[in-house]
Amino acid sequence: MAQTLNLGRRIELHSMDAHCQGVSLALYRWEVGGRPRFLVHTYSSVQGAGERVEFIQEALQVTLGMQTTDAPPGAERISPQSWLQFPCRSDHLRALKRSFLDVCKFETGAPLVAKPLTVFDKKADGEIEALSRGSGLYEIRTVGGAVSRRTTVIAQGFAKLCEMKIIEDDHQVVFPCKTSHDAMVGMLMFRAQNVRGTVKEEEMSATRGVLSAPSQQ
Amino acid sequence: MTSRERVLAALSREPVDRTPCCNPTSLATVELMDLVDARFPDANRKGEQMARLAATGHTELGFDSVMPVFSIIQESSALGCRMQWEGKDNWPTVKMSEPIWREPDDISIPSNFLTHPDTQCVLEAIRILKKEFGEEVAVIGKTMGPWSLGYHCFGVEPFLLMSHDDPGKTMVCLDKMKESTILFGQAQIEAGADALTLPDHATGDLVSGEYYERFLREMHTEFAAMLSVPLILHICGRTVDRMDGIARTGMAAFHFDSKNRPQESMEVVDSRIALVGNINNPETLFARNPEEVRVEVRENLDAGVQLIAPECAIPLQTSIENLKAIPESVLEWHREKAFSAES
Repeated sequence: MAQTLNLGRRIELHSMDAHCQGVSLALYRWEVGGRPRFLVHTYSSVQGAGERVEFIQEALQVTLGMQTTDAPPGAERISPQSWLQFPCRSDHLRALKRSFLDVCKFETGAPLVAKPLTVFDKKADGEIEALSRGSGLYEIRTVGGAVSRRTTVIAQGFAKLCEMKIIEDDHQVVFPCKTSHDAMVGMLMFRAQNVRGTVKEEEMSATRGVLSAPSQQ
Repeated sequence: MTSRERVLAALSREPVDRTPCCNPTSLATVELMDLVDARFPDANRKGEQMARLAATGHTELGFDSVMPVFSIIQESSALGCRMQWEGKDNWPTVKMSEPIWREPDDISIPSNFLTHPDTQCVLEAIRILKKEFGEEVAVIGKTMGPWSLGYHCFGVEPFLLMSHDDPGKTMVCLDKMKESTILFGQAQIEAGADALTLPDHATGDLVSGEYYERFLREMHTEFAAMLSVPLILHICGRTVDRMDGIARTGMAAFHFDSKNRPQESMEVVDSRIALVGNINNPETLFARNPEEVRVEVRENLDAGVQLIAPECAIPLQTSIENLKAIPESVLEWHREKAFSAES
């Protein structure tokens, strides 16, 4: 009898976890009435795999602001607990996928805190902040309140990584759900600072595990 | 029909109760490795793990065949090539920048070729799978063709240059290397393989149809005559220009790439050989959803392709739901056909 489960769509995979004997950790998405719920899952039964999944779930709650929710109807028997959703009930798929891969880099038991909305930016040689203006709107500026080419670049980074819309002179971004997501913005701030590097990392990861003909190797 | 009967009938282009899902190459994924605790690189080197992972192609994904030879390097390792075995989430490769042969005289099949651990594990896996699935599921083995071995043992560039500069010498090399193909193929048949995949990477990007005709067609015909089970030739890339030649080899089937449209391919082979394929790997199975998989499966079925499969070894990160969508789509297509025939 088959042991694989119907957990909805797998939307991201961390294929080899450095902190748990190389197990694969997957993020699944199940839609209920147009609203998505998410589950972290591994098929591995090695010692520590269950704890690892619980830690990643907790990390997504703390660092991304997700909440626990009930299992989708039909999935209760398979996995009754540990489903997650965003408070706004939206997808935020790109941000979630990126953050999932990033939290998989945390060691199990590492202290979990939401990241601040202010970071030092080497290229700007100063602190940059994402100031929440409410209703999902964030202003990217220096701590002194100024805007620059660098703040525009970071705003564009957020637009790409979080699927946000750029408004107001290219230094304000807004979530389509019109809800504030401070934890998500803090979590992805360092990625928005170097979005090109992030995209390159994702492209390299996508080619791993693909068998090429000898002539292509 | 049992799964095995279905696959063997389709390979013979005989009637089947439904189109079989058959995997001439690998269906291994990192999640399936976790499920059965059989991971690369061990699952490429230990027969028991190899068999356990291969079995999931039938028990978990619902394919009609099982195929334990995930990689393309087992023989090359036994021939003495330098290897990079990699980890769970990547494919083992031959270090082709460090070739082991330069001249025809260098070619020698070691006396321990079939007892080398990296060929033995394949034979052991086939025996285990045959014992487990018996007459129920087709067990498919794999023996690499001489052109692929040429790349591995001489290096891609030197081998291609030799084929251009000295075709006669190249033919001597191919003729010597084919011994490995036959020996390993026969050993797998004795171990219980119902059919063999024969990859020979005269790929569309580097090797023309004329080259296929000149160097390989006759040799492939010889393989079909010498190996007593149905052979499934596998060549990646755009290969329509050589499908007519392939169809005249006597091989049972050709495992074709998604760079060839199913309908045009069926027209070229013109019922002289079965086709297996050709669901796209990098774009569809790896990166898209079951809906897109379903579309490609249906295109193949509509064209009359005899066995449905991914076009090549699937990426190790492929999702389980996309793989399950292949047999599900085949069943759905046949149900619809039966329903429309009734009404």
